[in-house]
Amino acid sequence: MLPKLLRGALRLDPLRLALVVLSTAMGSGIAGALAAVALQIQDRLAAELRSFGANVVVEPVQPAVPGADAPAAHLDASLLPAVLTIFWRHNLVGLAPLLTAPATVSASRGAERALLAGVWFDRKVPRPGGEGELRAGVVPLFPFWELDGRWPAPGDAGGAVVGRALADRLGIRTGDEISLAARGGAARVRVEGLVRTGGFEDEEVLVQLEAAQALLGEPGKLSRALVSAVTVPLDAFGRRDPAGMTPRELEKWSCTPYVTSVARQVESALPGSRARPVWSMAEAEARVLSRLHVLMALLAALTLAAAALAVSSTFAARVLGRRSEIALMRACGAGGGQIALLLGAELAALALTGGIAGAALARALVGALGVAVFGVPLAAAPAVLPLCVGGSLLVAAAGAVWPLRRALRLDPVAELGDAA
Amino acid sequence: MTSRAFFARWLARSLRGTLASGAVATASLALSSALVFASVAVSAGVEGQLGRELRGYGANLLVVPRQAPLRVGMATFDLGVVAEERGLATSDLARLPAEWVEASAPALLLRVRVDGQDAGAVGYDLAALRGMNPLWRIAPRWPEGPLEAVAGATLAARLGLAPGREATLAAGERTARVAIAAIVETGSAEDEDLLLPLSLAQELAARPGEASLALVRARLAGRSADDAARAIEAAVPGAEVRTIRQVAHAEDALLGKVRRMLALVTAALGAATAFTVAGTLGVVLLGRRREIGLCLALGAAPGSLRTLLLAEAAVSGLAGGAAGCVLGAIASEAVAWSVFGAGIPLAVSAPAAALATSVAVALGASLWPVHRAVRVSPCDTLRAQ
Repeated sequence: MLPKLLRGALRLDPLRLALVVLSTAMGSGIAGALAAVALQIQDRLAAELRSFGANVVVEPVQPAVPGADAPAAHLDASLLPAVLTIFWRHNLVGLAPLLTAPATVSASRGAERALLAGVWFDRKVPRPGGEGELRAGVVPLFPFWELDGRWPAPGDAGGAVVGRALADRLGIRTGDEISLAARGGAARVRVEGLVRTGGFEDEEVLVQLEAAQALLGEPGKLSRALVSAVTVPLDAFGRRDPAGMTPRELEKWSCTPYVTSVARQVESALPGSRARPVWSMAEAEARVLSRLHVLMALLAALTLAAAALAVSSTFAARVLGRRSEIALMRACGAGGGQIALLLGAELAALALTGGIAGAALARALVGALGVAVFGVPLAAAPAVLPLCVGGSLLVAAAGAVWPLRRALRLDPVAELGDAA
Repeated sequence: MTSRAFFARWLARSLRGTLASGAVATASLALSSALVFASVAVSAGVEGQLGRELRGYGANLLVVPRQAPLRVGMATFDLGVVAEERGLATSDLARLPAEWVEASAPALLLRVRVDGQDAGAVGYDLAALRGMNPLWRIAPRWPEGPLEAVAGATLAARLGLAPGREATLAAGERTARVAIAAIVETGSAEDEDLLLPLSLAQELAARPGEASLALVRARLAGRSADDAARAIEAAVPGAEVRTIRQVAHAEDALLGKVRRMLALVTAALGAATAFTVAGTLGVVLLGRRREIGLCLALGAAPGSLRTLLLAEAAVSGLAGGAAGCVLGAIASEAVAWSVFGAGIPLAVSAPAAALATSVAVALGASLWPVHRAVRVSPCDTLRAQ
């Protein structure tokens, strides 16, 4: 009996059933997609904010003494890979060692004392344990630097990049050869490109780290290293000084990727170093991320509420539109339970179909939203399917219960007479 | 009785009927337009609010004298004697175009000896510097007096400076005694410097009224940083303005992403609610087939009947939209206060979008059911009921 009646309903009114399924699918799909996006937006934006540059600076404990000829304190470049072994190594997205010292730059139009910076331009550093590679160096770390020319290839010790302001003053152009003289010796390098950053790099000459070490007579030395790590926004707990924490708090602090705890781990991985968060960046990031997180959560909640109202009103309308049918069944002797079962089964089937379609829609929407906003598809959590289906069933039931009870209480005679 | 007067009375009467029976439809129209209103208003306001948060990243433009070497890293490295120091007049820097500039801090770089040891110092208008970098970690307090200085953390560690201590500064023949008011840890170049009040630095360097550069925080909000740079260049004689690309462009990219995300969310919300509201309206109209059949049987022209029903839909769309604007304004203010702790200015686009969506959805949802109801033979409709 029940399947027969269900088939009948489907045959009689396929269009309206399709409308109910479609509107359920739209409601649950969009609400599900927004909830999924709101859940992962913070991680995604945290990664996005890394394009502002490094958020941890590592320096030798004893800072360099100005004007002194005695070798100043330096970091040991060979220890640098140890940074990639810290607990939060998977959060590290950038690493750029630097060796900076003054040098005399001579070109066709004159000579000037300027800063010489030995850097990694763009290198692939294997992560320990065969966990892939990290793209390290200043090129991936500072994606908004504007280069006219090309970056020296890894291993090309004779290539250099000159800051725009310095190049303009000395008449240096891409392809020129310039001489560099520093306390360790002198060398001629080929200018591969001119860089415009708007910052202090506009006044510098960038060469490969090894070339700078040779020029300055400091093989294997670094003056600082920049580290970029994806972190969680700093909160009151993250800002606390770990020195005053109980062992339990310290464990919780270390097991949260705050910029402070990542800096602490980097510091302990590199002997003789002091790692500091770039505070303005960490704090600005914390504010931006927490604001956007709350905003997305609110928007998702609004959508959820709107979708729930819309879907439940669709189901209410479905029941209300069938009052005379219910009255007819009552007149034929059907019990309230039987009618509720019959209608409930039909509505459940509709909500189920709508929920499954909604989950598929949500999956597609999450991917599309990721591509449109971030250029990479976001992953839809596996929980989307049960959430969409469960949500649809719940909301449909909520919408249908009250009209159904009302329809069952009505006098079939009056209802049928009115309709006739 | 003219036909227009009849039409108006007919519409008024049928509206009284439907506004009661179609309260569900109007309410759902109000809800959807409220959502559209809220998300358009929040999207419009979010950029300004986020821009304020992004201020924490510091300056996004650098004003330097044209063609002059920027003596950075003076603290740690002796780059040799500069033959001719070119500078900018602080009086010029005080007149930056307010349309573009949110905050600016003129700075004068100089080399000093702190208690006999070489160090780099930067003279700043410290109040302006504080406005520029509200998130710096400075302990215990920002300096207030003309003879108070802030030491960068690295410098302080090297020279053994501590808050409350006094230090003697010497630049050439000139000397001054300052009190260290605080230590600042920024994680960037300032950690190596001694930050002095600008007037004291000018006095020590014997360069009154001059600055070697100015940090500028430009108000971008979707505008190009290069345009801001040109506007400032035009206002300050002899200046070159550089865009700090790492901040300005990252900011721009971030705001662009947030803007796109909110636009998509608004579109998705609009689509979801429009669809379900359309369904509800269609059901309401289908329930009135008998009434329509009766009108047709009594000789109403299908054309004027269609106009009546669509006018009715438009009016209920307007009513729903207006209610939605009120609801939406409340919702968007609530969102703005809970997210940013500040209200957002009302964008004209929000009520316009809400009303347009509401009317468009009401009309769009009615077109097909009205068309079908008017086309059917009145006998069939009346008998079928």
